[in-house]
Amino acid sequence: MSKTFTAVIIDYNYIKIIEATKKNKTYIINNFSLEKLNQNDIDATTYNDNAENTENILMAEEIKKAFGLRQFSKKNVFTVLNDDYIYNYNFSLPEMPESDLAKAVEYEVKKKSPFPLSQIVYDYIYTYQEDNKDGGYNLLTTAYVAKKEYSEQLVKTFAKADIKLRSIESKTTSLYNANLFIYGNNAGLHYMLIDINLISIKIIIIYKNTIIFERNIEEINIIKNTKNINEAGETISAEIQKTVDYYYAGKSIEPIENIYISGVYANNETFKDIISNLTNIHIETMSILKLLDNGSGADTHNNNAKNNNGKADSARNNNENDKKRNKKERKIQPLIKLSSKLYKKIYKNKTAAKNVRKAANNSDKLSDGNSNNINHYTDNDNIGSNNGIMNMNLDGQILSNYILYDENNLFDILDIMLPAFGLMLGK
Amino acid sequence: MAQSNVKKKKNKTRINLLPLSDKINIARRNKVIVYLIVLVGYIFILSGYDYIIFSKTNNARTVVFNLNQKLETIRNNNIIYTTIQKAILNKEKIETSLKKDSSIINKLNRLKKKEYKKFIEIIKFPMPNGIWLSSLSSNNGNFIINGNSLSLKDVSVYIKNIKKMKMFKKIYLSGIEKKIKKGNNYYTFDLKCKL
Repeated sequence: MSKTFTAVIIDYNYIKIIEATKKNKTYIINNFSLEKLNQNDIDATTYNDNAENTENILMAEEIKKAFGLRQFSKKNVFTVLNDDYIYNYNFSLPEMPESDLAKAVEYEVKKKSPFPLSQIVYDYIYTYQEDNKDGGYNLLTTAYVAKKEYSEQLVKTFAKADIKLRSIESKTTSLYNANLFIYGNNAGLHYMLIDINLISIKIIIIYKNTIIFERNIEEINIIKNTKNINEAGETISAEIQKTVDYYYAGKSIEPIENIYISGVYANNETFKDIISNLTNIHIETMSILKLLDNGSGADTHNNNAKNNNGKADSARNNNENDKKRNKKERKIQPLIKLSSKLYKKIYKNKTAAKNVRKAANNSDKLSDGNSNNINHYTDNDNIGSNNGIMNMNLDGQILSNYILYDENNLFDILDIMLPAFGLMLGK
Repeated sequence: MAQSNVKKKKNKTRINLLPLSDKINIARRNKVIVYLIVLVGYIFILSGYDYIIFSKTNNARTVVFNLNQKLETIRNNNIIYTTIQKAILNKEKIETSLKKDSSIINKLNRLKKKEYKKFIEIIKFPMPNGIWLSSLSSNNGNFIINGNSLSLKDVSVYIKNIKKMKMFKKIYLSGIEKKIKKGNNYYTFDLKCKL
């Protein structure tokens, strides 16, 4: 039995759509797209009398257009509410039946939310944590609260685009679920997720499988505002440092073990090295591309995904058990695949794109942090064009806006699709 | 024990911030879909069950029909067999009776041949002038000669002549009677001759 899902994320002036079919336990990615919204038209509506309504109509048209361009399925559509509109509250509850839990969460939300219940929409996630005192379990719960009007507005916008939303989620939970999907409970006890988007950055800190901290860095525009990969790495590292400083202020908890990076540059080894060196934290990649591209990655993914149902603290499983499990689960088919149509489309230019990327990575490594010697390729019209040839600027000159990312390249687009893909995951 | 407990516990890791009315609508729609699926499934199972029963009944009917046909064939065969057997028996009986009959006929034929010879010899043998025969018959190998004679002497001569033929072991006059017809006297006599 198969079910097709479509996830949409409207991020500033971009609309990301990914469609996948879940067949047994495998997600087959049918299509994805990154469309630039016609921001000028949308911005122009602010001068109208009925600006909000006009903006909604324009947005609906853009969504409709984006869906129509690649014939995305409108059956099970997921989207996210802007992070700015969502408040989250963490609390611990004793283990209780689901119906009682709903009431308990309602009580907590009522207590913590600045808005009355009639004006909000809320939902919650929870993880079981062993209570060391009596051997029972506690529910580490995070409630997500948003004003009802924002949710209704989103529903209306999509309805105008002839789409009936199945679910509105948050980017935080989608990234959390994506990480669980890829690494399972082996992600660690205390780790950080960083999603580098085209314009913003999202940082999430997870402790004992519970989201305990999140931060949005808006309009940082890492591609445009940094000259090269080194500078991008330094900028991200600085943001991580700030976040960590703020997070640890007045706390004495275990250090962050890993940083899981997704989005722009997530697959760039140089970029990861820079951040790892500057933060002294091990960096891992969360990437759809890596899972598709790397056979071992798929195995790890299988192994970890299998552990999702396990106990919260099973992250500390010993290595021997992991190895045994790895051997057993190597035979299991991968959990993410590309549809044959998409495979042909995306791998048509693979060799050219890979070579360019490899050359760029090698030259980055050779430069050993010296930005003056880094080779770049441009993001002008030639980059990621249908012939897959990318212009390399080998003169070693630093050029502003010449950076190792191309928003027309299918590989790079797929890299930033993880938050959208994450919307289809989770339990 | 504790580990197996943990395995059953499932974390909730996704949220849905749709307005409550939409959530209710989706839940209602899902419910309807589930009901429809259950209904379709139920109908499917029922029709499947019905089909299985129907096909089973059909199969059973076919089997019964085939068996009946076989039985009918067996019956027919049995009737034919019995008829043939009877016919064979009849044939055997007829054959036996025919054989008997043919042996009798043969015997009779053989006897008749002998008797005819005797008769012819008796008729051929010269008779006195005053003798004429009225019938010749045989019974169990004995010949009876009925005749007429004008005189008793002629009868005696005829008896002597027959004895001379040496055809019979014993010849005796079993009866003689005087008869008068239209004023003429004559004698009727019966001779019994034993072979």
